[in-house]
Amino acid sequence: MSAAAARGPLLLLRMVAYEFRKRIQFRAGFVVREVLNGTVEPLVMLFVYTALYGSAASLAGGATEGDEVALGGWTYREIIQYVAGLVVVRKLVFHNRALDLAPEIFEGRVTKYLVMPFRFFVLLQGRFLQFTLMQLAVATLAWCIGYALAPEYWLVPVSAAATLQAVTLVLMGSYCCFLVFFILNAMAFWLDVIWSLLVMAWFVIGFTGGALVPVSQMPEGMYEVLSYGFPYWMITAPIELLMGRLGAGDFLHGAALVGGQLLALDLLRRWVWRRGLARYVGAGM
Amino acid sequence: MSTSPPQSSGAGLLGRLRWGLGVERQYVRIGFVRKSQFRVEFVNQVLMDLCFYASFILTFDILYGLGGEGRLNLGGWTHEEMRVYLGMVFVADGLFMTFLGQQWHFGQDLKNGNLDSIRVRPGSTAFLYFFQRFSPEGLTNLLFGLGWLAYALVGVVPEQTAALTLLWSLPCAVAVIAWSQVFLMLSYNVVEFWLLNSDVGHLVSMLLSNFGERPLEVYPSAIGRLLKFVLPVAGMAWFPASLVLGRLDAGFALAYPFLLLGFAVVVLRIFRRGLRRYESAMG
Repeated sequence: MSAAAARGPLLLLRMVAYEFRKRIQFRAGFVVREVLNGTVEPLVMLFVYTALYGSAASLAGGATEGDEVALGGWTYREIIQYVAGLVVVRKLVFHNRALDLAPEIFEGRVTKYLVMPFRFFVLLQGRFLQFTLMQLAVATLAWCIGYALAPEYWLVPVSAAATLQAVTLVLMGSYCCFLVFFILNAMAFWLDVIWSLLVMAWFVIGFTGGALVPVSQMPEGMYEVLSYGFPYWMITAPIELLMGRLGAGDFLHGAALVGGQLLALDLLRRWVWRRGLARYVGAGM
Repeated sequence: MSTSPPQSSGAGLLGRLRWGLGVERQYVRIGFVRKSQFRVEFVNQVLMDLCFYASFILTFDILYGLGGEGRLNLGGWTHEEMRVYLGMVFVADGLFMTFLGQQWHFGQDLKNGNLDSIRVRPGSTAFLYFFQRFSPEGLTNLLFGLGWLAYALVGVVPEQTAALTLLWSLPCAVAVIAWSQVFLMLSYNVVEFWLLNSDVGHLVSMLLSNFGERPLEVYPSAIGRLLKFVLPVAGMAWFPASLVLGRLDAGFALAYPFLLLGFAVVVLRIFRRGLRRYESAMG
């Protein structure tokens, strides 16, 4: 292997170490941003679902746990497991606040990266890899704590294969998010402010993925449409795989869909970056 | 406009209020000038909040629709009542985005010592700092929120609440929302004085706002009491919606604003104490 070819992976490793150092600088901030991130909404939805299923049970004449009411094909126990799955899965999803490319473009600081003897995108991939490694550890810890506290309600994967399939889909989806956020950050070549685009994308990805309501619990028409998008395969589908509601065939179908979208997003990312650089004058906006 | 707030006790509350309104008028003017330069951003921010509102409306439409329309309730809240509740949530969010957007930068500004220029100005640091970023796009979304609230109220008048009752209860409800938003926001941010740039303020804000965006009856009673009486997130949407819908008994409806007043006094005291810890560049 030539020295130039070896430089890429080595640089990636250095970037990962550097990103880790940055993240653990403020300890309280670390706990808030990395550990507690993505736990609030599922917790609130747990209470909402408890009230909703309570109402449904009283309508059904006070159904007990033995004869649970199903709403949209989901029993209360399954919904609890889904919410538990959300806590773990959402930690792995690349966050809209995790990239800070737009200020670099806006203030004309990209120049220093362009003169370096490697692709700028490697630096950002290092950020993605650091995020994923850290969140894998945090998600594992969150799962262990949840299982220790409430083993009878917590989401326990049906098999090792299902776990592998679910993690694969989540990480592919997370990389799609990374590409989406890169593209939106690159809009700083044209726009003055882009944070609202990032927040908007985060809302849309969360809702269409099932962060509030499982996509398969939504009305049929919505489910039909949303099940083509990578957000569904990044949030709802992996949890359903872990629960055993979906199987290996669904995984392959989802992986093909997400793989196609990932490639399309990567092509778009390259195109947007090239077009943006053509406009870039290195003096800031 | 005078450059400093009236200092003598003779000027009184009215003079201070007039001075504060003068400052706010300048912030509004600057906000419009700034945003007229970022027209795409204006549209994006309006769309962003509309996405947020749409996700809420759709979520509850889906949830209520699961049991067949008009059958399920959430902690005793019917679908029609929930729409009013969401209207209050949107108004609260609109007010927050219009006037209090600067709070997102508080931790960072504290760390970088950016409060210096505010502290040397003659007036309340909290007011001058947190109200400095008036947002026309937030105002646009506030109008959307009010529009939704009006639409939702049409669904409950006159079966649940009389149109005449709305004449006094709706302005009271909006006033309670505005008051609660200001002092809740301040209470979330005071933590940053002790845990610098930790994002704890953001987390607490996100946590409690999320809790407040759903009726308190869905939570276990201990959490409900906490959100009513200790950190009165209830003032954000639960109390105003309950007031308008006639779900409160008169004694509670009259007493609760006094609790919000007491909360404001305590928060202001803590903020002033926190401000004494400020040492320009702190991070």
